[in-house]
Amino acid sequence: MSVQPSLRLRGLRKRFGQRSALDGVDLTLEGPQIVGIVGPDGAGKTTLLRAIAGLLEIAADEASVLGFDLRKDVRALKAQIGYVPQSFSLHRDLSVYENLRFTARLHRLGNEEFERRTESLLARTGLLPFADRPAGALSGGMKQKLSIANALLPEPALLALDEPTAGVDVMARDEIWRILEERRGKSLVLISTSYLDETEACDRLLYLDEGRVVAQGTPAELRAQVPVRLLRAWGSDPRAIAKAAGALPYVVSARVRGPFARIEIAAEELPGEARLYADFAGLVPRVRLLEPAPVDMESALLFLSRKQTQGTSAP
Amino acid sequence: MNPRRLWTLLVREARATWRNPFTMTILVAVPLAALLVFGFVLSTEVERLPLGVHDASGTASSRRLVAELAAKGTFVPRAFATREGLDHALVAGQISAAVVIPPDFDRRLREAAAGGAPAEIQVLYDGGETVLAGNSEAFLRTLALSTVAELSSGARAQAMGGPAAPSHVSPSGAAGPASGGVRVVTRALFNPKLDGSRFMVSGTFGFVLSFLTALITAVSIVSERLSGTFEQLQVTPATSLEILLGKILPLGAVFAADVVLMVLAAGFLLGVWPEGSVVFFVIVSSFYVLTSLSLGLLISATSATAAEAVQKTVLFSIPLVQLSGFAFPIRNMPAPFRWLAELFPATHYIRVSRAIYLRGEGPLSLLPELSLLAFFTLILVGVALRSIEGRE
Amino acid sequence: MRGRLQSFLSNVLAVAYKEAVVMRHDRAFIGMVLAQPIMMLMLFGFALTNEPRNVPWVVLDRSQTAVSRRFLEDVFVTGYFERARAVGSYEEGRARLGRGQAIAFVVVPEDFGRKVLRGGPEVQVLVDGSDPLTSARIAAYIGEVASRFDPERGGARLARVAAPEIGAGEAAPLEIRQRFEFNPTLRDRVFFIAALAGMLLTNLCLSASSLGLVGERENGTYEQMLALPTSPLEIVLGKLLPYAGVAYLVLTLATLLAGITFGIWPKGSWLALYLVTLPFVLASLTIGVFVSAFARTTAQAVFITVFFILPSFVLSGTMFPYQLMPDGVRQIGGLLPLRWYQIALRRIIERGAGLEEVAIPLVALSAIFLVLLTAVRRLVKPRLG
Repeated sequence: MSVQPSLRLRGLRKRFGQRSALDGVDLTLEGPQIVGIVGPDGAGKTTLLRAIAGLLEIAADEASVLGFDLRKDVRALKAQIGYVPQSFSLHRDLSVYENLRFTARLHRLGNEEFERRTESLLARTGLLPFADRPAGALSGGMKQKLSIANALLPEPALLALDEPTAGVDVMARDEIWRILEERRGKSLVLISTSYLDETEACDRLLYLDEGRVVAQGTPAELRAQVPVRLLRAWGSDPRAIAKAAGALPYVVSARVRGPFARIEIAAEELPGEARLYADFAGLVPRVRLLEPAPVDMESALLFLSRKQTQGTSAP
Repeated sequence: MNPRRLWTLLVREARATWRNPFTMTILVAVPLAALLVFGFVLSTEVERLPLGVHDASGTASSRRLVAELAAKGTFVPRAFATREGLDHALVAGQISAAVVIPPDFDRRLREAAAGGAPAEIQVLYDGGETVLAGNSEAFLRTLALSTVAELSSGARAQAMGGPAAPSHVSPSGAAGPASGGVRVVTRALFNPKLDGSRFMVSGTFGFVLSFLTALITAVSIVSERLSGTFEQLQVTPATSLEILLGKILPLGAVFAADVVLMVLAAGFLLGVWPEGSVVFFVIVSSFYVLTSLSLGLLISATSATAAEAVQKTVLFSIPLVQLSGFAFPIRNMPAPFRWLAELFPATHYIRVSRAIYLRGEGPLSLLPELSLLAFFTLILVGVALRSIEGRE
Repeated sequence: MRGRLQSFLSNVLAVAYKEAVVMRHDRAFIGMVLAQPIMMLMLFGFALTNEPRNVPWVVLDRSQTAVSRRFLEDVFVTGYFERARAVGSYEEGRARLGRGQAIAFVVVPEDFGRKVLRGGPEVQVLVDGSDPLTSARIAAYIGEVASRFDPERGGARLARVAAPEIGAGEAAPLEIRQRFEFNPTLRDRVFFIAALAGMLLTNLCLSASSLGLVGERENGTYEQMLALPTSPLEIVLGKLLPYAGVAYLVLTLATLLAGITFGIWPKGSWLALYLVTLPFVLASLTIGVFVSAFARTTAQAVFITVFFILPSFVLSGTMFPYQLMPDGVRQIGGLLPLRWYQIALRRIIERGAGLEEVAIPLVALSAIFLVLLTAVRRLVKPRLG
């Protein structure tokens, strides 16, 4: 694993019949890291991951993954890739162990090496007691962990995971992330997700919409781009507070989060501190506490999606 | 049961079926293809069959015999210089029949005309092809006997009124001369040309309506269940009987339309029209569709996946189709198989459709078969309905 | 180059091994492989035949002489007929034919007894022509009895018309000594059972490959495999390899069963049998790959497979002799692998052919396979979409 994993895409396009799934993706990634891919449904997240894994016939101005050209023969590339598709796709009739052995054979892993890695992977995923169980008989979380173990078996330089934690319970999600964390310094991990807390754990985020990367950066960078200030208001009736705050002209959105009302204000319309406190003091259900909060990923992603819809509706 | 609700379900199903190109193709293409395939393949007419000839005599009369065998287009002679070559060609399947004419053929023929022992030729058939061998045997015998009769004595041949025309109409052992042997005048009624298409077409209805109907019904119900739309419907006020009827009645209508389509296609493409009443035939067939729909329903009730439903239908239908008399007459089977065949509704339907198509029989003479068919249908529909109730 | 080949083989074997393990888990499949030969053998060995039996017939004997009764008795003892029913009038006999209660109606004229003595006796036979195979054979049987009928000797008793070396009558001026080679008693059983392996292997190969591949696609395992360092060709080949093995197993099983139960052992060379099976199995598996490319779901795959198999049984000449099919239909059948395989099977099993005699089917099968393979390589793309 001495190779520094890298990825350079310019004008990556993919059409399915009339529909354009990827419409000129530009992306450069260098070095091992965890990259989260986010975006609304149908943005092209799955297609992008499948394209990078060499599964699709694509068109591009430049498409280099780990130094291999995606437009040419990708067999050698596949030897260094681990891929976890969205739905469970291992052989249901084969046992956990048999599934892994099959992958190992195609990767031409030696027997000893295979046993060593399998032992360790199964132990880390907690699948060791189920090694002989047919994959189809595993629970949802265990299936997902098996898929990931299967993808990690060749110790790939690039790992592509398509919503690996969707529909998985909290415990299993935690375990899956612990396993991914181990790869942070070793592989280029591309993961699509719709969980906000997971995006915070990524080194870098790509926001995909309508087949293009419309924003990217570290979570902090993305948050910094957001021209919104966040406030938390607390009182006896947060629901009513949110409703009343929403009526203020400069408030973009106001929602209930736990005991607080979460209030977003457009940065350029942010009034002076005095006016702000005055306005909130005057709200009908009394606001007992108003404090600024750090911009979170929710704000960042909501902002990005709003920006996109406005951008496309008014060309 | 609520008629309005049922109507809504019917419309939905009809629309969904209509928009599924795969199902529509199957529903139209399979009956037509089955008609054409089965309508054409069964033939008894021997034509241009490769015939090996080893003529050791090489005289005018032996050449005349060979020429006569070739003349009608039934056989295409191929000369072999040696007997070994002939045997080899028979093994290799290059010829299906062979004639060996001995060296003394001409001499023996003259002696026979003068009242001596008859001349001899040897004919070999490829018995592996039973139907072919059986048919070509009749033709070759007729041709050879008539030619030799002419050869040996033109006058005598005329006195016998000429041998039966060696067409496929009379594959009889005709033209036996006077001493020993009885002349047989054969006539085939209802189908004088012994053309197979009428027979097969009338059976194809049974095949398509038993097999395709059960198959499509089973698969569409199972897929519906798998895709979750069934569950979706079950949370509406519709009862499961209504849901199933809504599913099945449009299919039944499509198959009834298939019957009409097949009658027309058989008529216009193959020139085969029923001897009896078309309306009567369509009514009986539509009724029979109910049987197959129920069968499909039963299969769907016990299958978890669409593929499983198809495999079950196929496994169940193959012996059903084979034993129902569609391709092989039930009469020819040993007793236990004959009894078994009587238990299949398809057997009775095929019998009825042949009676209407081939002999033009009406409802009255078919009463026993029709009531048996109705009996089976009622039982199957009853069982199928119960299987639905059971799942609720 | 050698490394490439080595990795190709090793990948194919890995997929094949996986497939074999999956197959071992699949009880339904194993059941099918074992049960189908037995079921088909029973059907074609015992039940399904075109040889007429229990034929209902009616007789109008206007002559009512000892000799006419002996003639009718001769027809009966051929063994194909039920006991004849006498009818009172010509009209009644015709009506019975019309109602399907009889298939043949024999009319013996009044002067039959006299003509037997003076020469030129005649009977009239009406057959129901609806089912051509049956009526042609019945007419032939009656004709055969008639041509050998010898009133003085009490009639030639023919147990079976198609006995070898029929002859010894004095039908001047020509005597035809005929023999049915390879199947002297013209049993349909031999005809069908010889081609049994063709039907079984068509079923097996087509459904295994089409269902298997569509199933992999439906479950996503195909995509998962594509993400591994292997190619679609390797996946498809590896997947089909075990089925080729099973096909040979079924072939052996069916051949042994046919030999043990019905005494129908291959008269020709086993080597030729196994050799000619290879391109047939490969071609059939490849057709399955085609089906899988067009079917979107497993159910569709089974549909297409079933509706390919049924006509191919008919058009190939497995069920009815292809030699009798009209032009056009016969040529279409020639495109089917099963046509050539059944030709080869019947040559080897019935007629004792060796490699040399099945050279043409072997070449035809290989050609069909190569054409299919070329086409399928275009169809199976190295990547999805």
